[in-house]
Amino acid sequence: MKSGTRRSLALLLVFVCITALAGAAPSKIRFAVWGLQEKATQAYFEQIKTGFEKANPGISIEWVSYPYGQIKDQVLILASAGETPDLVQVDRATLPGYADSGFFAPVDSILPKSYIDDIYPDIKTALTIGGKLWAAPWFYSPFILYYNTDLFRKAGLDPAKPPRTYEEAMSMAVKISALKDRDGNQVYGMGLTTASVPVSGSYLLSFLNSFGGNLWDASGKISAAGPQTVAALSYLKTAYEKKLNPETARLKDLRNLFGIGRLGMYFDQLWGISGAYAVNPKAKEWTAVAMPLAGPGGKASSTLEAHLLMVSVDSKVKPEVAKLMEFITSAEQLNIYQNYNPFLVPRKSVNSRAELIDPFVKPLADAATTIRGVPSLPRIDDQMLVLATAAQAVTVGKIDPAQAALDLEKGLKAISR
Amino acid sequence: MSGSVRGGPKRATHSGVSLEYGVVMKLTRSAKDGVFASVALLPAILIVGVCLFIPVLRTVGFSFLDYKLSRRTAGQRPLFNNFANYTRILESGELQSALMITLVFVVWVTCILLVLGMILALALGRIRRGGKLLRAVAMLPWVMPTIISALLWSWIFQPQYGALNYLLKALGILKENAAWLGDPALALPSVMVAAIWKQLPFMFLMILAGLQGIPQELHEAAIIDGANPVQDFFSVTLPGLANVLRTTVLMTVIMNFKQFPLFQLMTNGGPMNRTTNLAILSYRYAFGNLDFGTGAAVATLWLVLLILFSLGYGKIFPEGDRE
Repeated sequence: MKSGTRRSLALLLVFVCITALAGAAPSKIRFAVWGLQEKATQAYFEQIKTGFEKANPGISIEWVSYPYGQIKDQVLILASAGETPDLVQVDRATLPGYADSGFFAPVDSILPKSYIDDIYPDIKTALTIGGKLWAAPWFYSPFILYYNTDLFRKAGLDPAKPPRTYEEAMSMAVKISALKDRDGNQVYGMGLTTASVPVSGSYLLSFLNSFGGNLWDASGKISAAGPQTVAALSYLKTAYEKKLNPETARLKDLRNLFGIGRLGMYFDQLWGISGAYAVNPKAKEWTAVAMPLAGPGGKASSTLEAHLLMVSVDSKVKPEVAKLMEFITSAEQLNIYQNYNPFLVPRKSVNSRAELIDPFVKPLADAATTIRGVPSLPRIDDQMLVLATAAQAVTVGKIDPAQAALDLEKGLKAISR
Repeated sequence: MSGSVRGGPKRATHSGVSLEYGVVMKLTRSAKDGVFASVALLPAILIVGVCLFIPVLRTVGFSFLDYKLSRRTAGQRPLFNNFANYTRILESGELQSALMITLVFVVWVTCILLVLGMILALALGRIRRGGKLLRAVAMLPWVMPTIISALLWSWIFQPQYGALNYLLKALGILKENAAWLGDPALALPSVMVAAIWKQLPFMFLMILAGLQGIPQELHEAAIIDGANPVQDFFSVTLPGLANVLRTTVLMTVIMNFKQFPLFQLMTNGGPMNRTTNLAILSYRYAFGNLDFGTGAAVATLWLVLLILFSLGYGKIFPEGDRE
């Protein structure tokens, strides 16, 4: 054999070896989550990795784990350094900022059409910005009503008939607030979060929507001082003056109060109840759930509260990421997650599976119809804080609701400038 | 650089620097010390320069730019936005409000710390038996991480099931629960309480160290001259503590001017923005809205104020004679 031919064959052999090695190298998905940092869900996340890697030889998951409070900033810092994780667990409030950042890709070009079509339309609309779907919903919840069946009985109310409107809730809360716990401490009738945190603003926006109001008009311009806003703020003022609602409470405070049996009703995301159970596991015995409430002149509404999955625009393993997304949101996996937290399923085909019909969340069968989208605004967190400030103004600030509504609109306009 | 120069053949020596045309500059001893000190300090200067001055200068630079964290701007030069970051925070009134809250917080906390620290140091400094143990126990809040202190005080101040309301109601002082962190009138004073609790050991320890540095003979001489305890305090103790107080107060002011964790964890700037200080405002812009330009504008104005304060403070309270 001539030396030139031999050299060519040797080069070909080397090339084939390199290609084979490259082909055999496992694809690695960098997956940023906060759930692994939380003791309650750590085991669930660990089994995702084991299960997925077993079902998909050649694909591995590398965790990028941060606590909930830090993940938003840390992922953006990684992204700025060109190290965006392939897949990121995000909450709904983070979606507009991430979509605007340009570090993430719309998922409608990554996931199969059949998967996208399977998502409930209201949820899909809430996750769509500029005509593109930016995240796959993992599981979701509106701000639903949790109520204490024991306190309902003690107050002479029927636990099988929770309120359907805010007016009914107010009259029930008056009766519950007349109760005392066994140590003589005050029992609160209802809990509406009004603390200085964006999630309180999200709840208050749901509350305002249920009264038929909003912060923006149909064209997206700020319009927040209407009669519906005044009515909603007046409701908060009355609840405060009658001592029905713990003032400026964070969701965490409401969960604690509910857990120790000192709160009759409160509004939370479905999975938030684990905070109450952590304080007192016996709270499971008296906890029941009901649909979001309607206000006077409005229909029951809520912002979408959801755990979402977003994909890096720079990911080199998008097909593998799509497989992982489908695996995580499969009926089998969600069935396992039921052991950790209550939630609602955002996909029609999965939701109809018998094993996923949790009797506890059965009253929320139509919850997806209450979802209303939140505009994608760059300073949405600040807008939510301004709304929380308006709620504080009419309660602890003792400001007239009409004036507070005007201040709210002024504050929102100042931000958008 | 000082040194003597003489003509002569071109040569290199251990104690001289060889120059062109055969001129050798001999360094005096103090110049050599200066060179040695400069070389020895160089690593520290480089570390401080890289870790402190460069980020500060970059922050000042960002404050004039339209700089938001996004892929579109990554790798691109952010544009000068005609002072829009500054006009935004000034026109909205957020800066003025945050500055006022910061100043009120700093003044009250510093004054109360000074008075309480002095009383504690004078009282505990005289205890002979068990004094060391007491002083060690008093240090506990100082060694506790600020985040833990904030969470601890959040629980104490919790209106519905917090320890403070329970205690005050049991003692008959309160009839109804007070919303310590939720009431616009009470929120800032409540954060002040947490800050004072946390920083009191530092103030106490510094004053105690200062007190122990005042010669006992001076007190004895004052008493022989007929001074009463009040006159002794104002004529001997206080002048003796002047340098310690000057430094400690400056450190306390700076520490509280940039107070962030207590505010963020206890109130997050609420209720009704009554506890939104400069640190919270800057954080909200930079990390809440990813608008680093406006966040940097708040931080720059904050830095300028601190520098002006430090310069003014140095002029008003010049360092006294150590002797």
